[in-house]
Amino acid sequence: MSGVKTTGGKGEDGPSSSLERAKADDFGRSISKIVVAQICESVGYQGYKESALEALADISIWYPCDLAKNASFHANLAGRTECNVFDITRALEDLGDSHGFPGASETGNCLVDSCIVKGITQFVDTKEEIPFAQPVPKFPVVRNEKLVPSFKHMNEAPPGKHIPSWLPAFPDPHTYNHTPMWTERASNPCADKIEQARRQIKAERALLRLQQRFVLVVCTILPKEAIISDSIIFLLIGDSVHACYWKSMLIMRGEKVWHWLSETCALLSYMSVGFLFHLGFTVFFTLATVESLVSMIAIGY
Amino acid sequence: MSHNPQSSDGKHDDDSTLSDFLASLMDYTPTIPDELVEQYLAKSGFQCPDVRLIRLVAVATQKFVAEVASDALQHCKARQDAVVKDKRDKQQRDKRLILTMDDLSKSLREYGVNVKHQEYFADSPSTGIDPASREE
Repeated sequence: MSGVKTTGGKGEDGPSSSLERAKADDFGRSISKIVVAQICESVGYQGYKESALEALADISIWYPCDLAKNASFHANLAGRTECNVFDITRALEDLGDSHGFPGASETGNCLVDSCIVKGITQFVDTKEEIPFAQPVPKFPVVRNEKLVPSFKHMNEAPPGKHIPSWLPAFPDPHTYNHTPMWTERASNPCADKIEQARRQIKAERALLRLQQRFVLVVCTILPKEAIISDSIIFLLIGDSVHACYWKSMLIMRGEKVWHWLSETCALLSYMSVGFLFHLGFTVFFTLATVESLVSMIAIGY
Repeated sequence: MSHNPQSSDGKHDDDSTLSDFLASLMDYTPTIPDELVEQYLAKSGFQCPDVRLIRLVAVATQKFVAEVASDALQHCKARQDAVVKDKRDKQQRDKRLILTMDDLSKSLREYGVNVKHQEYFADSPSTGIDPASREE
């Protein structure tokens, strides 16, 4: 039997939408839908509308529930907890009252010859048997719950006389007591610092060696006049650091240093750096030309 | 009472009828599976270890649904016949019989179940109105 999938007009997809959450009764409802579809097919229908089928499936769920409630009510009324066939018969009569059934108006009728049961008997005799299309597993599935063991089970004494030993045991104290936490360190900070200092010393030594090699190269290759002039220039500019550097180079080379000139220039530089900076630049340029001339002359000689 | 022995005989017959019927239920397989019925009966507080009673409930439900469906089918056929009479088009009769909400609500009304389905969903109160009148 094919289904014409038209819903209530909203244009939504049916139960195949992934946004809908699975409800607890989905399995039972889907089985009832199949049942109702089979019944409709046996009656003579060739197709169904989805909304109509769902409504009829809801009714096919509601009917036995209502029947059961009614039957259990009648059983309780008679002082029983288990229902029997007469409770069901009374419940069927209650549900059939609105529609009407033969023998409804008669009072004092024995339930054994109830017309409703006769109607059902007739239905069973005349109607063709339509078994359910697929095998149905036993449901709902009962899962074995892991129960908390009792005091007796754990061989523990309950912490109070008012607590019987068959009750579930209390949780262990480590689950609710606050204990200090020790952070596990993978590295030792002292060792890290020592390592860092060692590396620093290594780097400094390498730099010093590089400077020494550089100085050696400069001392051997550069002419003496250039060094002197450069140191004077640095002094005039006010760069006492570089001036001392070049001075030390001269000392290493064993040259004579004009102390008075260097000290005077240093004093002047400290007094007025800016003026000297400007002055130094002009001097620098003039001296650069002089130096080149001097070196040219020196080379010439 | 005079009819007592007769009624007692009748009762025996009825008893046997009932017990025979319940026995025959074990041979008959209702369309509704037993597991489904058991689940819904357990939910409603129905306690009974007897399988025959569960089968009885299943058969009663099946009968009810079949009656509702057949009533709806009658409505559907009547509607199709009416359409054919109006249009006098024999091809219309070959239309498939489809279970619709209209027929179902009509047949359920007789059983005391009110299933009224909204005919359509509209976005606003003016949906479907003629554009000229809407502007007014």
